[in-house]
Amino acid sequence: MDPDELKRAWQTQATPGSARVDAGLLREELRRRRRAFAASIFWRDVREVGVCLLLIPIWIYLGLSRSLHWTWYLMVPALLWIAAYLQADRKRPACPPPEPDEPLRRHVEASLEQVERQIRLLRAVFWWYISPIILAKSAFVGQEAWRGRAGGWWMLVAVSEVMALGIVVASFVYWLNHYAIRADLEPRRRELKAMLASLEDEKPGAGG
Amino acid sequence: MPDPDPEPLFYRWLAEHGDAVLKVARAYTITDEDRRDLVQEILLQLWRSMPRFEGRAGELTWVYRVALNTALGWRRGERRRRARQRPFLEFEDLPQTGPDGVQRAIRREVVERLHAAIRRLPKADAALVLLYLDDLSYRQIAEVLGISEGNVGVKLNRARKALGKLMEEESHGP
Repeated sequence: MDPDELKRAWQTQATPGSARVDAGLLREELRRRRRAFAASIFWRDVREVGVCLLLIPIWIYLGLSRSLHWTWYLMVPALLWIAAYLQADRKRPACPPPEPDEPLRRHVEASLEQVERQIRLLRAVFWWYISPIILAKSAFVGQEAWRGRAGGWWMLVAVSEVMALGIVVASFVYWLNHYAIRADLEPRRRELKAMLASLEDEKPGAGG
Repeated sequence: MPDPDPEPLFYRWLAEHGDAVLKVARAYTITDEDRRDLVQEILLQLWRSMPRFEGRAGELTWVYRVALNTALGWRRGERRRRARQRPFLEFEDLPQTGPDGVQRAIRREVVERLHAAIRRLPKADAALVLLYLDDLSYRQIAEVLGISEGNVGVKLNRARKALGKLMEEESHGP
């Protein structure tokens, strides 16, 4: 079909009607979204950092009230490390979120950088989240096992149970993070990469 | 200096460029419900973007940027998360004007096939074709997409061929 005819048909197409907008409701929706965004940031920080910080006094209290050994307190630096790591990651200078009025290519680049950053964070979850907790816990359990070695097989069974439970929980956290990468972030990254590739410079005649 | 109250400009853009928003939404969605949701989202983003509008880019270029960026980032899953949103948009049916019945029916059929073909194109190519069909200049297309003006022709050539092939398939059925 003649391209000009296509253009004519396109430009004279009947749109489903005219859009009528209630500006008051639109403003209200923007305010609602701003509030929801601020709340989601607040609760994200509470969840990620607040829980770590809250656990520290509880951990110290439990250690003191039960006169536990020094390895019990290794969890405190582990929790501090996790909270600090998350905060540092959030504060790390990065590509600012894309604005809706930027050229498409710049928008895609910024979105891709954000997705890749999130993938890096989740992919490294073993190093910054799981391993500090597992190490701190293993040190305490190991020390307790050594001290109670006179208990023989029973002690071995008890230690194995505690360690197995820890490994199950850690594996679940690891799986959950990697599942989020596979199910959500990787497809988005592929899509953005394909889009960016199609916006790269081409030589005349490329693609037939 | 941007207008402190974006409402008058917003309504003017809606009157002058609302068609572009509707066409973009139609090209990236299938159902009426999704389309309405995407139009709402584009209009929200348009409102949000207005304080940054300084007139350096043309108005149509600006509207297309916002519409395409929003459409490309829009995902149907988000619809569920936006369920609490109160609708601020209504469509009013307009009386049909323009060419007579037969010609209108032919053009409508062509437009339907075009939409179907555009939806099957890669997203960036679909954006390029939309801008081409709305008769934007190479310079405007380059500004919307963020690519060089020289590259618009090369990409457009490829996208037009792909579109033609898909249109053929549409006319011959699956």
